[in-house]
Amino acid sequence: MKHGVAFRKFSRTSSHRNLMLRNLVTSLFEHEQIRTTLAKAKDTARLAEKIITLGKKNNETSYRQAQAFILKPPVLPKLFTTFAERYANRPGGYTRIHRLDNRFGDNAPIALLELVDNPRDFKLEMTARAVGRELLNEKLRWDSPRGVVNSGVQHAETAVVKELNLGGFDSSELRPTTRRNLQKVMKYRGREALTEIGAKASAYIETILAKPVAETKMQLRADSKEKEKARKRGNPNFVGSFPVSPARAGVASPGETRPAMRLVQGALGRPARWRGRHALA
Amino acid sequence: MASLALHQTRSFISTFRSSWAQLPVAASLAANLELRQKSFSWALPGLQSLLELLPPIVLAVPKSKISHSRKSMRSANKGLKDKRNIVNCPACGEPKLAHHACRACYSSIMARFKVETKRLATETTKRVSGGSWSRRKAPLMIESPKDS
Repeated sequence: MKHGVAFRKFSRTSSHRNLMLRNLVTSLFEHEQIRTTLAKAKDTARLAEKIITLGKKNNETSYRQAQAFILKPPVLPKLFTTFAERYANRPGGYTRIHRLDNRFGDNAPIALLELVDNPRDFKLEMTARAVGRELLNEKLRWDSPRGVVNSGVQHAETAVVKELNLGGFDSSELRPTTRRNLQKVMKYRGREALTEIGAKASAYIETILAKPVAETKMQLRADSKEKEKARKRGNPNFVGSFPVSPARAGVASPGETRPAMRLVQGALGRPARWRGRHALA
Repeated sequence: MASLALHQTRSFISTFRSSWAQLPVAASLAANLELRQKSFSWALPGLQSLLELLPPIVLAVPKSKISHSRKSMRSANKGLKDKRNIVNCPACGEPKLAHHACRACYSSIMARFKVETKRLATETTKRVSGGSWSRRKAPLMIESPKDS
């Protein structure tokens, strides 16, 4: 029986397992973001947070303990300076796990394990992008797409500042989930993070607005290339269109309100016109 | 002709045996040989084969070929189940699994990080070596060129 036992064995002997986890923790401290299997990520996160606590303690004993654990000496000073400063006010929870798609070869669930508030914080990137897209959606409610393209979306940063103090059930430009993520990401960060998020959100809005133009340009370029190749082969009247980005099912364009399951089903998601035929739920 | 030959060989063998039996050493040998020839046999005593040890119920066998319809009925529950945890990514709008990171966003973000790291690395080395670009600062890209 294994009731309540917190540790995983990973089909390895204890010495192998401990060394593997030490290696993973050292790599995490070195790169601040690693990609591994979900089970390994969960166990590594647990250990890494304990070592960061040692770094926060900052005395002789904790230094020796951390030194005995970390496998690369250059990583050790990082633990006692950078991480101790970064997590000085944060009571625990110094790591974050994002679930990624399963691996191709063995269908193993893969995760991205990262240190919170690192310079390449994945959650911050995704939140900034989501904020950008939702501000755009809000603008599209009142304005036509062409109008939005011409005017753009300004004041991303002021909108973001307003969101920081709202609660769970207040209505505003952002969805409750995005607002919650924004508040979490901003909790132990200063003012410059706000500017960063605003800048990223604005940049992402411009990327979204430029997407159709970029796609048509790429398509024209690919078509002309194919025409050139056909002309060299000796067929000057070649006519063909090779879709560079194929049409994918279930993609929600900006301003879309229907749920993903409905979009993904396509025609089967729409109720048919004849009696008794409902949409697939 | 064959029967005649056989009879001749039989008589020959019997004469051979009798002539052999006359010798004193050969007599005991012959007796021994005959005894051994009588008792030896390949089959185990009292059993036609080992199968007689096993009870008949062990040798289960289907009585008849399963019909196409019955086979299909049994396979009715074995189909792949649809995934219902599909949501739209809040950033790019593409379909993604719930509670998972969006594949397109993840690869674009990681690609941009790689490009930035490479650019920073080459910039510092160029600055150190004093190349022609050592004082110029290239603007940061919003998205990597491969993104559509």
